[in-house]
Amino acid sequence: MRLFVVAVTFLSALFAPVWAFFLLAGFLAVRYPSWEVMLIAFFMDLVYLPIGGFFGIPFVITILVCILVWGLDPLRNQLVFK
Amino acid sequence: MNSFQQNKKSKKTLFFLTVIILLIATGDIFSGGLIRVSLRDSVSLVNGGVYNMVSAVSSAKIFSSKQALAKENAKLTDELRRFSSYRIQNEILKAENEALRSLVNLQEGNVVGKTARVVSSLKSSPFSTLIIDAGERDGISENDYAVMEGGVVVGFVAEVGEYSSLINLLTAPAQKSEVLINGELVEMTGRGGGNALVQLPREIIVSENDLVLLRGSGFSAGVIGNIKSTPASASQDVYISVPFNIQAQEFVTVFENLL
Repeated sequence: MRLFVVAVTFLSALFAPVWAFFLLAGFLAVRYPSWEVMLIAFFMDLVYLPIGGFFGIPFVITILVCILVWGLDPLRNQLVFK
Repeated sequence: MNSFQQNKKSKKTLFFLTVIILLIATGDIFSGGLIRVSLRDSVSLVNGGVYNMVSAVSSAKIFSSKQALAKENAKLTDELRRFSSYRIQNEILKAENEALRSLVNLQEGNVVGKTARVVSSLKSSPFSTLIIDAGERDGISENDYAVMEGGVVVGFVAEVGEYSSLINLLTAPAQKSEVLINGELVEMTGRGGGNALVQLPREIIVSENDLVLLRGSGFSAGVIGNIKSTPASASQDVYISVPFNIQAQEFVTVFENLL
């Protein structure tokens, strides 16, 4: 299941609307301690973002996803899928 | 392994990966984007192959029924008729355009551009950027204009790799460019979603569908889509839009920036 969602997330990063990626990334971050989603976010930043960043902020998606993955860690551990 | 040990292990992996990402990101920034440019070249190759495959399958009409083909045939005949009328209109406009170009001393129309394929989906990019399959090896350089249908500049080359380039759209959020509206030089700010905003003094009279020219390029940057003004304000908000769907465009022509 996890591998399948990761594969779909990676494909969505390349071919699907950006909301699809965030939806899947959110799911992965809630359901699993997903380091894969961080890698995909980093890949997206490297591919789509110019070096100047977005409003001057470099690696925006990676930062957002890191916050999501690390931020949801306590929730994942204690409330959702123990 | 119990759940506590598992949790500790997954946290370790996450931490380790965060550090690795941080190191690569730092390396990329300090190398001036060397990592991202190489990665984009690979993505361009893979995506180019995928798009070729998809267009080969769709043009082979493997999944079309006879009825669907007849319907499409009728539609295409109708389209052909429409396009021949457009062609005549185009010839007239071209002649008029040449006359106007010579008047305003803009870039000549005989400059040859390099046509490249768009190998990324605009809807997948959160930053209004596009990847094209032409790079340094094809003579593309930074700040060149990316022109689409009808000579409309949609953006400029932000980064160049050997086999691919990144196009930053003029309508990307917070992207600033200088444009001419009715001869007035103003700053246009991208708003995302194929739209941009210009704030003009109320004295300047503009109307919908007026052409917006990109300064010094000789190309259009779009047309005026909507104008909003209130009697209390000294300025008016003029919304610029691109007169076609950028997402639907498969090719882009890159022209050298002579400025």
